[in-house]
Amino acid sequence: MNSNVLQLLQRLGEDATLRHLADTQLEQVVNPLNFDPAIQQAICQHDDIKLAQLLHANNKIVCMILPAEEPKPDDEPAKQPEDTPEPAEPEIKRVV
Amino acid sequence: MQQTGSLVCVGTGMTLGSHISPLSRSYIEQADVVFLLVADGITEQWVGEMNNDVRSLQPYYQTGVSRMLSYQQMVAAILSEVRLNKRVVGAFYGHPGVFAWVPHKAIAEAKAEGFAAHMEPGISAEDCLIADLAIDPGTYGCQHFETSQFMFYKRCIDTAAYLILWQVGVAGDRSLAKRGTDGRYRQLLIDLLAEYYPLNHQVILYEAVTLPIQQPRITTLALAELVNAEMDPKTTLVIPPATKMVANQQMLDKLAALQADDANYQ
Repeated sequence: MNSNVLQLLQRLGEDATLRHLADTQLEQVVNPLNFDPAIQQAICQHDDIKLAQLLHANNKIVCMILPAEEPKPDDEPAKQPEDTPEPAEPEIKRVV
Repeated sequence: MQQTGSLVCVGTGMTLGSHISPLSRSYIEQADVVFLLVADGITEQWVGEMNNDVRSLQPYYQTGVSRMLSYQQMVAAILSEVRLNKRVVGAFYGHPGVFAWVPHKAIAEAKAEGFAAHMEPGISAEDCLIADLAIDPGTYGCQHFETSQFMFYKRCIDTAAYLILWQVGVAGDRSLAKRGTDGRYRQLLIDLLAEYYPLNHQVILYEAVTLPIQQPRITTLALAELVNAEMDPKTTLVIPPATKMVANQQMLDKLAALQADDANYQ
């Protein structure tokens, strides 16, 4: 069942004729399908939380992948003679 | 010994079905192992159907543990499969190279150990933001910062350009262990921004669509109202320009002189 629902979601995402359907048009696409009525309702009501529950999807998703490091003592640029190159960039700049 | 393992970090884009590139999808389908980090559980299932060995990186996040440790463990997990000479793909939501530590680090380590490794771009949250808010970063210029980094370091802000602060929902978290910070942290951010912007300056909270049944979040409010605003880890703060660009007359005069020289030579 999940596979069919995922295929429908993919079609809704990738097909220009389906991507921005009005609610009544979305119902016309979803209702003829042989899905659990609760899943059909969740899709037609744009209820992604309910849909995730019905599909037993992981609901503990963390979507943060950039650490914000605090300045370290090494980040302070050392005093350089005028003819030496600029100090290296602090670590935080390299991770952005 | 020849290193036959490889690593490709691809972007799945932001919206299920809409954004993944044919090439990224092909890498996922042909990989021996896929490590996956996306922004919702349904998309996780969707990518899970593209390959028989898709491993979510979500379990590496642990409540109360610094995300930095989680990221290091993710890199180690990815590299351990590359060292077994497998074709490994890291699939990350959005663009794998934008505001993302793990893909950059994993590719750098794989290359340092002699493995083939590269990145394929994806449609990022920034791309969605530009489309949904109908703004052009080229019109006034655009500055991007991770919100906590913006608070930790002294930065020079150009109020004539857009300022976009990512991960505003965890503003000021020094532990890297929180999933969100409260109004006290946000008030410090407001205090910092108030050095540059009036408190009634209209700002935007934005969240991109991850499923094609959703609508993007676009909430306009005054800067001062951020303290009580509803936030999510994926919320982005967009601050439109508050001042006009000031002409650099000295430079314009020099350029005019150059132009006059050019005309004399012709």
